Amino acid sequence: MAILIDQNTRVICQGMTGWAGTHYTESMLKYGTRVVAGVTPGKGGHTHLDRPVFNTVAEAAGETGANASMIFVPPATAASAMIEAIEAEVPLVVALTERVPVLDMLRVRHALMGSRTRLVGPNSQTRRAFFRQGSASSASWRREARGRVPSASYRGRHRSRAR
Amino acid sequence: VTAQITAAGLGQSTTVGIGGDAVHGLSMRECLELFLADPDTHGVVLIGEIGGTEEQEAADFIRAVRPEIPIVALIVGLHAPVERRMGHSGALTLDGKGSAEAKIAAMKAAGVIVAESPHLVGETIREALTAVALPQAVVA
Repeated sequence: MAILIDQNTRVICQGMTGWAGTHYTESMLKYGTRVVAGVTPGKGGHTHLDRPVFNTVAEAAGETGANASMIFVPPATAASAMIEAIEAEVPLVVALTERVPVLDMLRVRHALMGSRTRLVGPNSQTRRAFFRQGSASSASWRREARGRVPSASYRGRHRSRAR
Repeated sequence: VTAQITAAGLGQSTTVGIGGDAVHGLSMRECLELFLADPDTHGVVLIGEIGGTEEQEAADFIRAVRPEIPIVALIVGLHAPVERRMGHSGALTLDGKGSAEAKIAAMKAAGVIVAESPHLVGETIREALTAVALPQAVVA
């Protein structure tokens, strides 16, 4: 099996409707990850990538039974996104965002204390752990691994857009 | 590295990127604890870089629990200049703390097999695993 995630992990994507969110969510879906919903404040009720979008994490997790959240929110608001997920008691939160202000992260660390959440990142490349789950056969995984040798180009894109 | 491990014929139970920022959630040590508790993980690859004390903490933990499965580490940044941030905000050597040399020494002292070069990780974990049989590896 695996740690942190398995084939039953149901993922919501905070910031799914944004550039990075769309990009990574599409990859995750291709890989077989069970992405069940997106969260973007103000876009609740919309549909993105065939998944429902909610205004809040609590709403999305409540409606879909999600037990993990991926965060693709830009640095300035990434900490609030993490804290929202922590407050909604999502068991696993993975933040991809790079350049989250250090003082913001101290607030997040504080929110994590005594919480039910395990946070991976920020500035995490964990998407592959997410990719690894689901119905992907070892052959497709191998293809994936070969095609995407260290994700330098991806990161480059991700970063230049994030600035 | 994951591509190398896959090319070496080893699957990965989970790969975790713990994040390169100075302040983050899950630590390398916590991650290692989870991997050691997973019965289907037969080996662990740790990738560390300069800055912070995560690798030292992981090494102390390894030294304390003496895991039965092989652990391979790759520590990058041997040639990184001191007091300059290298890409990740957490990758910074200050006052000689968090240097790659110190981390490699700590890992070796804990019984971890240190890959000498980034391109040797796949080979190193495969050799380590053949020594104990069962092909499945993990990257942290």
